Amino acid sequence: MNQAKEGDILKIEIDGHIDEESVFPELDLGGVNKMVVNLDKVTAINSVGIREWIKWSKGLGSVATIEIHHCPKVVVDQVNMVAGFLPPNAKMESFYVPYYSDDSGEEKMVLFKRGEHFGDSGVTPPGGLKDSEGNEMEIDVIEAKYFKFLNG
Amino acid sequence: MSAAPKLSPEEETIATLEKVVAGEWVHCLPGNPFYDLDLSLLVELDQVKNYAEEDPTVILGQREKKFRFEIWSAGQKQEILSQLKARFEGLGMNRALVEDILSCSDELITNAVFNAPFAQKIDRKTSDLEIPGGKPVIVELSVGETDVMVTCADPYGSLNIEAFFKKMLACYRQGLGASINYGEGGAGIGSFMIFDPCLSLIVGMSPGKRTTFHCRFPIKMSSKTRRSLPKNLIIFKRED
Repeated sequence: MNQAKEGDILKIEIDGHIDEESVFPELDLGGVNKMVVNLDKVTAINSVGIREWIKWSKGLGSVATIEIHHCPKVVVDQVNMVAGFLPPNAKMESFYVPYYSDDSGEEKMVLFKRGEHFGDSGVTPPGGLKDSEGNEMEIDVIEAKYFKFLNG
Repeated sequence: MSAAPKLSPEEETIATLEKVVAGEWVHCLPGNPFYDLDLSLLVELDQVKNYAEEDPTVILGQREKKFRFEIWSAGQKQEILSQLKARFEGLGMNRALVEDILSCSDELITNAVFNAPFAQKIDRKTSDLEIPGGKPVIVELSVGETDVMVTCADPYGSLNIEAFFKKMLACYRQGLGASINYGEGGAGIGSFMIFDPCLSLIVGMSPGKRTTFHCRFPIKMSSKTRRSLPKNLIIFKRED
C-alpha cells in the first residue's frame, strides 16, 4: 500500500491480491479530512481478504469523506455482495465495467466515472463500443446486480 | 391453470440448495450447458466408482489434463493461482471469467489447506504453514470440448456437507434481499464464492479420507450469460 499526504488529503494506492497475507498498515489520520483510495491495481480479493478489509476500513470513521477511484470488478462484486464492505463515509468515484463481444469473444474494461457515466439519478453507460472487428460490445454484467451499490 | 412463475437464477439456486439441505443431493438442470444427466443417473444408481478421487476423468470420462499440482504448505497458493491464470489465458478465456475462476480456486485451496485439516482454529497469516498428515492437497485443471474444470482434493474428508451448504444457502438468501452480513467468524462467504461463479459443482466425499470439489466453467461465454444459467450441483458421500 502506497500513501501520500497533501494538506488534509491522504492519498492511498492498494495493489495486488487482498487475502490472508495482506497487511493494512495503521494510518496517521490526524488532520485528514479526505481520503482518496485508488484500487486500480487490486487483482483479487478472497473471503479472508474481505474480513481484513472490513476490519481496516472500520477504523476510518474519523475521515469526513473517502473517495474510491478505479475500483476493479473483483472489488465491485464484494461491494455489492457484502454488507458494510464500504464504510458509510465512502463514495464511489469511478469503477470498471466489463464489456463483451459475443461475436469475437473480446472484452474491454470501461471506467465509469461519477458525473459522466453515473450519478445520483442513475447510470448512463457509454454507447457505441466496438471490438477490433467492428462488432457492437455489450455490458457483460447483470446490470441490476452490478449497479446495485449505487442505490445506496 | 396458469404456469408457475419463472424463477430468477438466484431463486433457482436457492431452490436447489434448499433441496440439498433437505437431503436431495443430485441436481442437474436442463438449462445448464453441462447437463451431466448421465452422471446424475450414475450417482443415483451408485455406479460411479472411486467418485471422490481427484481424477476428473473418473467421473466425466476422457479429458485433457492441463495442470496438476501438489500442495504441501499454505505458501504455495499464490504460485498455483499464477500458473492457473496463465493456463486460462492460454485458452483465450476472457478476463472476467478468469477472475471468477481464480476467485473460486482461491477459496477451494483456502478451504483445503486451512479449514479441512484445522477447522477454523488456525492463524491464516501463516504462509509457511505445512499441512499435516503426509498427503498433499491436489489441484488439477482439466479441459473438455467446451469447459474447464478445476478440481481440488484434500486428504482429510472432514467437510460437514450439511453445514457447508446451509451456510451457502444463508448467503444466497441474504444476498437476494440486500447484502451478506459478515459477522465474526465469517458467514460462509467462502462457500458462496466457490459456487456462485461456476456452472456445475460436484462434491465427492469419503469421510475421514478425502473431500473433492470439481468446479466446471465454460471456456467461452459472456459473464452475463453464465450468470443467468441454472447451476448443477451433485454431491456424493460414501464410505470407500
